[in-house]
Amino acid sequence: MSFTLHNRARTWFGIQDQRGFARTMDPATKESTPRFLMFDAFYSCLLLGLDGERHGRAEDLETDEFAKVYPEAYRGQAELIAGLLVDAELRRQEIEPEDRESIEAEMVRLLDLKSSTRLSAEGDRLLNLYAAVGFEKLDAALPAPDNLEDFLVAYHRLWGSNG
Amino acid sequence: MKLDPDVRAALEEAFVEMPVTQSAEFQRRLRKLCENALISNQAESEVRRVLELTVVEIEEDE
Amino acid sequence: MQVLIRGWSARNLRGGLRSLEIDLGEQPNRWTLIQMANGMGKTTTMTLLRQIFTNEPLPPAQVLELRGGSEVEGNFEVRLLIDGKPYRLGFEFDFRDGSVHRYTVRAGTRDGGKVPGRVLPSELGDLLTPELARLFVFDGELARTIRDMKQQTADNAIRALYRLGQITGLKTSVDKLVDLEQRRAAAMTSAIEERGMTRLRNARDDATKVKRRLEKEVRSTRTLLDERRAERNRLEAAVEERLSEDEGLRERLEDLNRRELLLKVETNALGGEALALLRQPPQVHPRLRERLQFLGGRLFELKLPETISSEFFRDLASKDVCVCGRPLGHAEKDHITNHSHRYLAQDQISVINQMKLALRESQDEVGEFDAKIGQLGEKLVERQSLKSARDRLELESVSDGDDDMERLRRQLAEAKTEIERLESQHERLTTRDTHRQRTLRLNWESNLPMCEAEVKERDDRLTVASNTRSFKLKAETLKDLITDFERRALGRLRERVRVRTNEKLHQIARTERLEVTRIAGGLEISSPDTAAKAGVSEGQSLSVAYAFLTSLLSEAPYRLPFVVDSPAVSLDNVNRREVGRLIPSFFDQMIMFVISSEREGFADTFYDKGDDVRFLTVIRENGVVRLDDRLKVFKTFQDREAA
Repeated sequence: MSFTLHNRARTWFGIQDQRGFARTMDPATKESTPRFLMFDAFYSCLLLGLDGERHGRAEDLETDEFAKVYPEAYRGQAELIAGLLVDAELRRQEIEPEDRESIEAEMVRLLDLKSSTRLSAEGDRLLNLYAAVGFEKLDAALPAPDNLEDFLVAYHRLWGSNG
Repeated sequence: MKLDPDVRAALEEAFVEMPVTQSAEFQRRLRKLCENALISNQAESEVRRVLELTVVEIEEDE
Repeated sequence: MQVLIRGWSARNLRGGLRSLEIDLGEQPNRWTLIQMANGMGKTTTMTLLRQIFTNEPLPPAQVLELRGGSEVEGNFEVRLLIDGKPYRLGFEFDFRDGSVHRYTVRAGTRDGGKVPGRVLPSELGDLLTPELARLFVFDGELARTIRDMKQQTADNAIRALYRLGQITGLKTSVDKLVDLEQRRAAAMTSAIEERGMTRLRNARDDATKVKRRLEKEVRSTRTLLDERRAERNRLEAAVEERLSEDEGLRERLEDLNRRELLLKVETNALGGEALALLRQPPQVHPRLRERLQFLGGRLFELKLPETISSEFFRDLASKDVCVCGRPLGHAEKDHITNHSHRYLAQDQISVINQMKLALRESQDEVGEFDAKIGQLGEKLVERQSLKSARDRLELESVSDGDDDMERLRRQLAEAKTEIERLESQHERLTTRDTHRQRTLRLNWESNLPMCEAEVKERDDRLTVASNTRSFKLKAETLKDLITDFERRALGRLRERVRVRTNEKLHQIARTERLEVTRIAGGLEISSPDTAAKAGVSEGQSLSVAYAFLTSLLSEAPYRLPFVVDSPAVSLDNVNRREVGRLIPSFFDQMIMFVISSEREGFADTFYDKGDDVRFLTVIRENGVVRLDDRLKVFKTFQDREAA
């Protein structure tokens, strides 16, 4: 899997030295502040994207991946995220809940136990696209935060006001 | 075939007269190369190796 | 390496060579004297002997001249012992077109082991050049030219025998390697010459200068940043201090500080906890959990990830009877196999099962994220209120007429702005993030990491070019060494041969007062009696040549036979005797063609050497040529032809 960020995400999240909200961080406080990973940025966008019914565009992605596998902090979440992807795709294509054949076909298309993401190559690709569109939602809704707490609170609020 | 004593002596003299002293390895390899050359037994890689071992005066480049 | 001649044969060649077989025995004698009248083919034999050793081509004109009779083909062959191993080298002449084919036979067999061409051990093959052949199959002409200082005969003889040309050849190899290296490097850069090198060096130095400038800027920016931060801290402390000077304010201030510190710790803790919860999708919002549950439920109801899998279907298709009992025909089996791919495989079922499991496990923590965020939100509110409280404190002292406080707050604000500006500048100078570099439109002249990369690249180009250049310097050095070596080697060898030659000259009466003063191209002879170059008789000349040649050949690493035609004919009797006594002892094998008039004084010195000598006389009687190997025949034979 090549986890890839939206090409404006690094700036928005203030990513420096592979952690978020770091550009404006006072060196003195760096140690004690919880570490917001690049993957956390990706994931936050991904959930927002999977909440909707649209893909993002491949052109909006950065050229290089930033990670190949889920980090330790996300151990155990791969199947859940895979499930959310299946759900998002079913909704996007408006597949009826009774349509057994189509649902099965979607699962065949998207899932693969052998992969560390539990997704097929197609599934991996879609994950990046959903994360990209999720970023766009985030960028449109919030000003770029400069610290973790403000972000978390604002992000949570966004989920509440959506849907 | 070992070098003729006069030929060998000539080589040793030539070593001494060089502007920059060469390593023992260089001298040994060149001597062998000459022995081989005299019986048409030299290889290009051998010549190359001796060449690489040659020490020159380094002008400023650092 | 030792080469000995065991004999030779000629067939269908002119003169006395219609059918000649010279056999010097399995282990040839040390000395062989062949008495042969002029016109019997001595010159031809000498020429052919010379040519058979070298690899030179024979011109058709020469070949045609060799023709003896009406036969269309002829042959000349030499039998050799090379370090004890038998070899035969031969010419096959075709008189119809003047062509000649060389061949070599190795081992003792007559017909087996014959190959085309001259096939000798490689070091011998390279050694036997025409120049060298003229030395040991002695060309009398040499005796004349050997003293000519304008010619290179003596030096060439030394060079040939000691193979100094191979050493010269090393210089050619070196040049080839340099050329190769230059071509290789030209792919990377085209700056091998000095001009190009200077350009590359300057480019590298320019980039280094920029790097130094950027490093300096980074340092000064950091210094300023530190100063400003220190200043900010100082100002913040000063503000605090001023506040605390006022009793009432001080308490409130201390209280604020305590609360702020506590708040920071709590905020960090909550932030970490919230982040951990964020990382679990079902936590983030109820509808995510609902969707996952719904999906799980749907799949259960649709009986989707059941035990039915495509493996099952494929298994089924290989059987004759279905699980329900119905027989499976061809059509049914086909249908099953063709559609099995549409059914889930074990893998995909597992994913769903694990998803369900993960969902079940997260049941207990419902609503925790909300709660944490709620608490975090409260902390942020508190942070804001503490900040406002602090501002109020500061304003209070300002409105109390405290100009200092006003000033401090202003300076603090300025310091903070300045810090932001410096941080941004620092980022521009130091960021390694390529995306950031692009966003900020940085290049190697404004960003230090990019500059370092540029310096390295320019340095690499310079290194490649200068490696090539230094390779060239090494080549020049090595060639100079080789040239010096050659010169010295020749010098020493000349000296050695000169000394030995003089030793021999002193032992030959007519030349005892002659001396080789130097060897430089030719032999320079001097004598106390006459001026140099003048007055050396033919006899003396010959003796000098012999003395030189024997000195040269006898101490060489290759022991070759010495073949000479009429060695003593120009010498007077005294010299003959001395030459006859002295010269032959220097060779492992010597073959001398003599005419009857040379017997006296020269050949007779061999009569008492017993088995070491073989005497052959070539006699033509009534048009037939025969060979006689008896000494008494040799002693008494008279040529019919004039000498």
